[in-house]
This record gives sequence, C-alpha cells and structure tokens, in this order.
Amino acid sequence: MNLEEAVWYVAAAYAVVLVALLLLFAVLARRLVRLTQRVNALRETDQSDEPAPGRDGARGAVEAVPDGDGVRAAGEVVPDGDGATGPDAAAGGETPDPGGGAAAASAGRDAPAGDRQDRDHPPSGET
Amino acid sequence: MTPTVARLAPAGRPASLLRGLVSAPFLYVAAALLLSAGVLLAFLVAPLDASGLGFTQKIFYFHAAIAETALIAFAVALVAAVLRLVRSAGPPAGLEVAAVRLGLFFSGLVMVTGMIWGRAAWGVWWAWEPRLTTFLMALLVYAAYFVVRGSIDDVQRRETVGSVYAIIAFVTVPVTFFATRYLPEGLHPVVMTASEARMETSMALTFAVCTLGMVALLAALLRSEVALAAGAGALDEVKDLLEER
Repeated sequence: MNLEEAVWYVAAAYAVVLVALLLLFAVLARRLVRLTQRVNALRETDQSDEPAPGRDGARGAVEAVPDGDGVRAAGEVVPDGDGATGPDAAAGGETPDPGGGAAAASAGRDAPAGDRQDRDHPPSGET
Repeated sequence: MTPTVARLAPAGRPASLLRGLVSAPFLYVAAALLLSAGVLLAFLVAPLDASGLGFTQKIFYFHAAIAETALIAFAVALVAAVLRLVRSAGPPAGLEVAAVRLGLFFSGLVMVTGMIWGRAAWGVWWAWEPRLTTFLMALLVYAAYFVVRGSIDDVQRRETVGSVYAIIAFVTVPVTFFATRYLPEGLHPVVMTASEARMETSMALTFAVCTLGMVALLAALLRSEVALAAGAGALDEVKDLLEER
C-alpha cells in the first residue's frame, strides 16, 4: 500500500472518531435542551395555576393600589377624579396625600397646618 | 404563595444537579487536552511502524484506546449493577444505563475504526477471527440490554432485571480481552501484554496519552449522563406530584 492510500485510511478513521464524538455531543445537548424546555413548561403550568396577584389580598412590594383607605405609598400621586390632586381633600374629607401633592403645593394649599391656622384663625386675643 | 415547583424542588436539588454538570467541564477540558496531545504525539513524535503496517498504524493509537475505554465502560456498568443489587443506597440510578450506553457507543466506534484499519492492513473489511468476533458478540449482547429493559413496564422490576443482565453480559468482556491471547491464530495482533509493551517508548507514551484522554472523556460523559438522568427523574417526580394535586 502506498503512502497516499494509507493517509486516506488514517484520515477516514480519525474523521469517523471526530464525527461520532460530535454526534454524541449533539445528542447530549439536545437532551439538555429538552430537559430545560420541560422544566420551563412545568414552571409555566405551575404558575398559571396560582391565583392572580391581588385576588387573595396580597400585593407586590412596589404595587400601589388606590383602595380608598387613604393610605398610599410615599410620593404617590393618585388622581381623584377631578383632575387635581389634593385641593378637594380637605373639603371632601379625604386624607390628603402626605408625601406627594405637587399640584396642591403649587396652589398654595399644602402649607403647614400652623401657617393656615395663622391666616384663617388668628390666635385668640388678636382681634 | 410559593409556586409548587419551587416548593417541591427546593434549592438543594437543582444545586446538586448543577454541581454534577459543572464538575464535568474539568474532565472535558482534560480529555480535550490529552486527546489533542495524543494526536500531535501520534503524527509528530511516534515513529512509523516498521512491521509492515506503515502509516496505517497511526489508527492504532485511537482505535485501541477506544477499545480499552469501551471495556472500562462495561466494567463501570458491572460495578454499578452489583452495588445497586447489593446495597440499598447504591450508585446513582442512571449510572448503569449510561455506562452501557457509552460502552456501546465506544464499541461501535471500535468496530468502524477497526474495519477501516483491517481493510488497510489485511485487505478485508471484516474477518471472522477471534478478537473481532468476540467484540461483535459483546456489542450485540450489550445492545440487547436495552431490548430487555424496554420489554419490562414495571420500573422496579426493570431496574433489577437490567442490573442482573448487566452482570451476566460482562462475561463477554474478559472473553473479548483474552480471545487474542489464548487464540493466537487470529489476524489481530497482541501489542500489549502483562509483561511487556511490544512497541517503542514513544509509541507506548502516545498510546497511554490517548487512552487517558478517552477515559477522561468517558468519565465526563458519564457525569453528564447521570446529571441529565437525575434531572429528568426529578422532573418526573414533580410532574407526578403536580398531577396528583
């Protein structure tokens, strides 16, 4: 057998080994992908069985829902239906937004209680 | 409320699965380095065979290394099967099946590379001589392992019968290994004996590096297969529990 023919046989043998190993890795990778897909499908099925957030009274940490109890997250501006926030709080008896109230501040109604008292109700003896 | 999957598959199980997968890369890297070094040694360092095989002898370094690895894989399956039957807390469930599967893979590779080498060295693709015939027998016997397992529906019985079959099937391994030594009239040469390596030092070194690389690859593949089997098993358990809910 001449050298050229021998080289072809050797190359064929090494190529068979290489291709077989690549196929084996491909099969392993495919099994890993299928396993991952099964895990994801199971996780989605499991989460779809869970009750929707809010239905059981539990809320997310960053979730702020206007619930009429006057307690809101700091800095939250909640529309009250008339397009303005804060002004009707005192008139309607609604608890004003303690930390927010940018609109109210611009209208000059969000001043400290003491200031308002000084203007509207002068201290006794100041007649 | 914690999702059921998170409750049933707490952090420990995915973590152990992950450990199984991430420890394999070391073995994969070791195998890649050793096999690359083996190829370089085979073509750049090891001399041409002077016995008449010439350049085709280069096939030997991988062909024989793969053959040894196949037999080691069957030996791993034997040990896993025995431990599984003897001890209640035996090896991982998927080890035996993975070892047989990889043993079959390497056996098939030995047959193909051997046929190519046989055609180059002897002028025939196949010869019914002791080593080739006994290796083919071993391959067929181990292939039947999956047929036997597949024919049993009950999981516990399937595992037990599979383990017993893996033990019995191992009889073919020593028969294959010693066939050439005790039936020397065959075409297949005996290169390594207990007392000597009938080749030059650089050839023996190349063969050793290739064998180590293949064994490291087998270990890495076994780890991956066992981790995958464990993951699939855990997933089935969770799925069953979800369906019962």
